[in-house]
Amino acid sequence: MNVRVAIFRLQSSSSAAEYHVNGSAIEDEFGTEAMNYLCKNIHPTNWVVFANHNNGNEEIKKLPDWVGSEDPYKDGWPAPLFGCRSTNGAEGVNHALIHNDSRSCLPFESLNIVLKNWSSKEVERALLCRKLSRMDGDFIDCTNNIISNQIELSRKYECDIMTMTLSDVSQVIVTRGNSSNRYVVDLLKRQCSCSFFEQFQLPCCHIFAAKAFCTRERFPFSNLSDYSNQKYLKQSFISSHSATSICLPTTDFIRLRDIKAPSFRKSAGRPRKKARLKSKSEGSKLAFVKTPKFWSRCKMYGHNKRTCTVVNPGMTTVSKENSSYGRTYLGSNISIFSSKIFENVAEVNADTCKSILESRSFQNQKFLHQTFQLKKLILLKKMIPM
Amino acid sequence: MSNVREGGLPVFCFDASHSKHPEFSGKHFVLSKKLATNKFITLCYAIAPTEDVMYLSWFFFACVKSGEDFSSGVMFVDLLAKFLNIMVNLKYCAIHIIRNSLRDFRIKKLT
Repeated sequence: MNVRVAIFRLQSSSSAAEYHVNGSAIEDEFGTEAMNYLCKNIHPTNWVVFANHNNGNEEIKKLPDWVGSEDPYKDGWPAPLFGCRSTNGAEGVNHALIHNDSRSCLPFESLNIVLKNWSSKEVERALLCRKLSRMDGDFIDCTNNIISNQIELSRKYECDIMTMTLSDVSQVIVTRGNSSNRYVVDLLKRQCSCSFFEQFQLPCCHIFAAKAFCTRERFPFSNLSDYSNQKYLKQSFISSHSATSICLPTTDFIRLRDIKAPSFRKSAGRPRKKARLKSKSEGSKLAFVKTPKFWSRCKMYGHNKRTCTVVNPGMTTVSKENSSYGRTYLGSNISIFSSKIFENVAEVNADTCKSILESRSFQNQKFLHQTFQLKKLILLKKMIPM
Repeated sequence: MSNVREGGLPVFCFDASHSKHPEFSGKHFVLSKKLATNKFITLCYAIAPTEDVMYLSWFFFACVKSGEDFSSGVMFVDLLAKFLNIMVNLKYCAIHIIRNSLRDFRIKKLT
């Protein structure tokens, strides 16, 4: 199992029982130390989703058993997370600061860059507000997509009446197929018991199913905004972003006496002409890259001509008498074929190789180049019986 | 930016990053807020010499003083900021928890 998937699953568990199951799976897979760190050292109310629900008494009772400490918030501090689980929002801003070079500047310069970026983003939001004001509907595009997905899901659910008042149905039980999960939708209080409604504060598929069951009314029904948080509404977004303004600091705010030039330190030696040494891949000859030894005759790394044992095993050096190509290879156990003539030949007879090697033309290297137009010698791993 | 404070979902993210200037080795504090468009907006930005309890509490008290209301929402922080003595509903970042568990227990199963 992937660690990230396992921990995210633990974090997003929507009940105490589910948390316990996911925690035991981590213990089996990654050991008790990891389990103790995740479930006991880090308080579950601080990072697990189910601790942010309105839990029942049974759920709350289970928490101190795992934690085992007298924490003032052991029962949790329930709050909707709106689908957020990490600090990605702030880290994205930090990466943007690197992109804008504001993190590699002195404080005042970086503040200036950040404020300019803020102002440009505010202009974008103001344009978005203008676009939204011309569109129909109560919600913005992003929320509309979520709601349309929930409407599609609602068609798979079945409903039963739980409680009724004199005039209308008050509570509805929503189930899906053979699943044991049951959700209670309170139409008077405009609430659902599912985790989606609690965390996102948007109308869930159970509310849509219950509404369709009771009133025989399909989407869009009139009071949809009553089931959702007011922050999702188009009007609240427009009112909060249409009239924002940022004042950039001008020279009046700057007291030049307070800003000093950075301290200068003279470095030793003559200054470089170039800012940076180019690497070998960029075409520099100055860059030193250590390459391993390579002997082109046997096409092997790690040794050169003098230390080659493949050509003549047992010999570390080659004498001047045997230094010509023909004689050297005649004394070896390895057969040779060369030139373009043998390029397409898969196998060469040992006798033909031997005849070529023993011929005078092969011993004269210049003549060999002219006649066979030889570019390189290729060794065969085929042994010649000498 | 008082209007922005009223808008947006009550979810905050805080993170600190180090400066890359050779002459200044400070920290950049960023506080962002989630919008209904599923994007984040930067609410507050500050530069401080170090990331310790004193400067973090200075940053958050400055935010509160300028009109920010943390009581109604949650704030995602890394585990370093858990020593803050402010009345904020702190939630720990799940990605930081994963990183720490990978580092401390040397879990190599990433397949």
